Amino acid sequence: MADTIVIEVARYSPESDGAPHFASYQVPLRKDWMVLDALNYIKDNLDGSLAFRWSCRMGICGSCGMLVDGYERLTCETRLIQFQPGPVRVQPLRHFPVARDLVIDMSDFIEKLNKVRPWIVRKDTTPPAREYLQTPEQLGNFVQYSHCINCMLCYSACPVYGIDQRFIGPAALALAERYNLDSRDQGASDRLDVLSQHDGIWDCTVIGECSEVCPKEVDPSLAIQEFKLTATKEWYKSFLMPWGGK
Amino acid sequence: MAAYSEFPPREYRSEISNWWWLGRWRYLKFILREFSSLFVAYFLVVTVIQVGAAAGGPEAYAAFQDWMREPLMIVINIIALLFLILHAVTWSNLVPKAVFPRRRGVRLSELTTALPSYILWLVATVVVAGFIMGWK
Amino acid sequence: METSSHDVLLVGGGGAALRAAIAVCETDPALSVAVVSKVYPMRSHTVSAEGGAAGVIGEDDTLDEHAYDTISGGDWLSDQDAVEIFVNEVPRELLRLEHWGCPWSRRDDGKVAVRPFGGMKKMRTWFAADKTGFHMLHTLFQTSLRFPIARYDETFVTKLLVEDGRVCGVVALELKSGKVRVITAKAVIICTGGCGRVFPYTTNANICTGDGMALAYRAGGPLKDMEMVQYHPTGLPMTGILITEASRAEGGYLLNKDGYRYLQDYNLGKPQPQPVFRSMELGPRDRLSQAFVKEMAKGRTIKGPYGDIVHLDLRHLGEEKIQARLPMVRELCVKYENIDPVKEMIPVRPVMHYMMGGVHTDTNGATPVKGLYAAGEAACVSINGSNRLGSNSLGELLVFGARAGKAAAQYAAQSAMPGANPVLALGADEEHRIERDYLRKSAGHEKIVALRTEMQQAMESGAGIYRDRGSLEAAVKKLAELQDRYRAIAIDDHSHVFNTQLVAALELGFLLDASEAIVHSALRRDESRGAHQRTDFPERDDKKFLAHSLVSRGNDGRPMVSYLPVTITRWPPGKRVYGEPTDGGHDSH
Repeated sequence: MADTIVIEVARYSPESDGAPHFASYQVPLRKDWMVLDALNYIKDNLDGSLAFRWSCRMGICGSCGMLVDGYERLTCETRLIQFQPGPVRVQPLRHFPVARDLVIDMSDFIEKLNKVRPWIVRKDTTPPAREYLQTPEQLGNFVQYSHCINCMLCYSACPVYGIDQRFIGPAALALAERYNLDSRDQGASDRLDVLSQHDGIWDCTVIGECSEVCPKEVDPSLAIQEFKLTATKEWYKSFLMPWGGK
Repeated sequence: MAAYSEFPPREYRSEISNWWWLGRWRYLKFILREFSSLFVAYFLVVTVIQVGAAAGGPEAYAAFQDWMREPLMIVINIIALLFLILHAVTWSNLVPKAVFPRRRGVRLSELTTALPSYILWLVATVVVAGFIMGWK
Repeated sequence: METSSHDVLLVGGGGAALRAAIAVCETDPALSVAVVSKVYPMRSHTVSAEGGAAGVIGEDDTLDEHAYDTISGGDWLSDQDAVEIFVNEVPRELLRLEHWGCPWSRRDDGKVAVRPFGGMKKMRTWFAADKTGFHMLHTLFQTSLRFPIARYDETFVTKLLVEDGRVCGVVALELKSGKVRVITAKAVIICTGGCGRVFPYTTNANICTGDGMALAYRAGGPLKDMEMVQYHPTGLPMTGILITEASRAEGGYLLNKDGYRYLQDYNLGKPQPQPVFRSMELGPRDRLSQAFVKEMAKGRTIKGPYGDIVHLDLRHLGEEKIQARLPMVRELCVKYENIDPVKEMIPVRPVMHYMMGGVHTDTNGATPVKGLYAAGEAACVSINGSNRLGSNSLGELLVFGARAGKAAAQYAAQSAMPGANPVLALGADEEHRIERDYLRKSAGHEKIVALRTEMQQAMESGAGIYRDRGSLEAAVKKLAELQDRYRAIAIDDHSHVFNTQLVAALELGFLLDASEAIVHSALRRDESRGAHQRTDFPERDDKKFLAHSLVSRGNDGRPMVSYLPVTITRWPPGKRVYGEPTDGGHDSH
């Protein structure tokens, strides 16, 4: 194993650059290091102006999503040694505007999140005195979709979102389906209107790259396809049985 | 050193390339999968012609078979068959997963959900092949 | 400079902040409320909490027992009126969260499941697999989206504005553009979490830099019980990543180098095959971390590449149980230690985890500074006393977040908005200070990483699990030196756009203030109680120190320590006993 490895990092400073460019840094190659450790080494010792997001360093906060050698990864759980002898490229996530270096502007994602109404909707005015009963099986129906850490690797991986940023996107749609499938929720029809629009579920062409890159195995692609079936059934119901439904 | 600006800082936006699908093996597989629909359509047309030829009597059917024996048609049909297999495999792996993704709250594996589709495909193939090859 | 104003402002965007913001909306829908956080809310450190949140729910459990466990767990430094309020309100809050969609783990009959936890006599810890904090935070964040709560995401508060002893707003740096924002507010609630990054090995995220504690301290709000620093007994050796107490609650053993369950040598009971409440591996965290240090002194810990460790053995739980109850623990071990806990033992050691101390508040989250409130880990009410029991912290976010929100809303409803002129003037001063002392400075030479490392080393050796006068005085001296050197700090990044180095430098300033508060308080407390262990004063001294330490900034700018008696209601100080034989112990389910 060599002592060091070269990291090529995308740099972009709007105050001085017209476009991103790469800068190379040589960092120690330690077998316990993640790519994030290497980035912090650069920041602490080589170039303090390198800007990137990180926080928990244990793969749960979703801050440190970046492109490592062309693939969407959480840098806090991507081992550095797998890239030897290097060099290894680190770039910001795709399909979002780059604000600075490895930092993207994620405001579109926040907007999408708001759009899908990701909260429990109830028709009853007073909640019960105790918990809503929910069996482990009912919990299992949606819990996988609730594991999304909002890291946006899926948006970077999704060509549809890359082509058309109006697409609501994998994570937001999966979150909507998480609430639709939660036995305590009664808001599926409210969400239907948003999700079955052109830039909702029907924009998805089932490429599946979102589920491939998801670090939490949420499988947003499955959530979207599940909802397509539900939406289709609802559509048929709406004109075959217009008197029914909520 | 840059002065503090009254305008919002300039974010860098890049357009996705028209060749994005060459960037990853999985993207290419996706495009090929979508492309395979063309060959589904092709086989539909061939089947319609075949049925029409069968209805037109033994001579019409023999003419159809001669056409199918031409080297160019054999090549096209082999390519079409490969794409059709790709289509059937990707369809079997995907669609049933959405129809019954879980049992008792636990996610089913891809194999479990795909298996019924493969079995159905095998049965249908045997039935249709038997029918066609039984026809003389 | 951008300006805006709100009735109530939350500094921080985690569990306590979001709960408080919702409480403001519900208390008085006419009020304007905003959350200012240096990260997007779902990145807040609440997200990494794993084990669970305690709340009395069983038929055989009582509020008094939860209160007693908490009070004895805190070695009687907890304010008992606050504890009574807490145990009373927490089940309701947890239920509220369930109604909002939190995916609590369930029993087969559909009711919420509970698990045992350290220091608790009964099973009362609600949990969502082993990602309770994650689920709670995301539930709170997503629920908050349906309320009219304004948000200033990635906006870093650099100063609390106080005029005539009354809070009037904050100055904050918008990271995206570098713009300085002055936000006028009638009430400000600090929910910025802990300050684990003053130590070198911590479960805490990078963002846990004691911002709110320092902001309050600088604005005249004293910090309480800062010497009470919790070390979690089971963190991974190099990274400090948390391995939840739930792994012990589900039945894990702690073994020394001879494969021996060494906790039995430390008055924590006798080892049983199944976990026993308040005994052995389910003892309180301070005692377990102290046991490790003593084992290490005896040479019975294992020498690892990153220091001494012991083993956490989960193998006897079986793959099915681990996958069902501790899936994230398994994932973390595989990813960060290349170890599968189903087949191998996990190397662990105590790492700094939680601040019992924080901004001094009453049971409504109010500080002595008018209009200033605090809740969550940043605050010290105090319910946790000198040692927090696991699974009390997540509930604390909800109970005191809600109470602080309600109190701040009521205060704001009958207060006038602070005048614009003083606020703008103070804001302009702060903007100028940031430019002068950081961005435009050419004369500095001290590097952030050097000062930070030296601070962390001083804290580790001076104010670790065991302390004495000598180590603390050395730390006091070193930190004073670092505060001085901090004035000569230099940064390489002079950009205005997303300048994370500027943020790191400002955070370092906060960390230094927090660390000074810790060591000064620790030096003055000549006793051992809970997490504060003085080898030169090994006994608890209720005569002199049944009191909270309060650190304020003196007129000379140096920390000054005074004392505030603990509120005792129904539980007079007694002996902390763990490992007592119980009637049957834990039933697995």
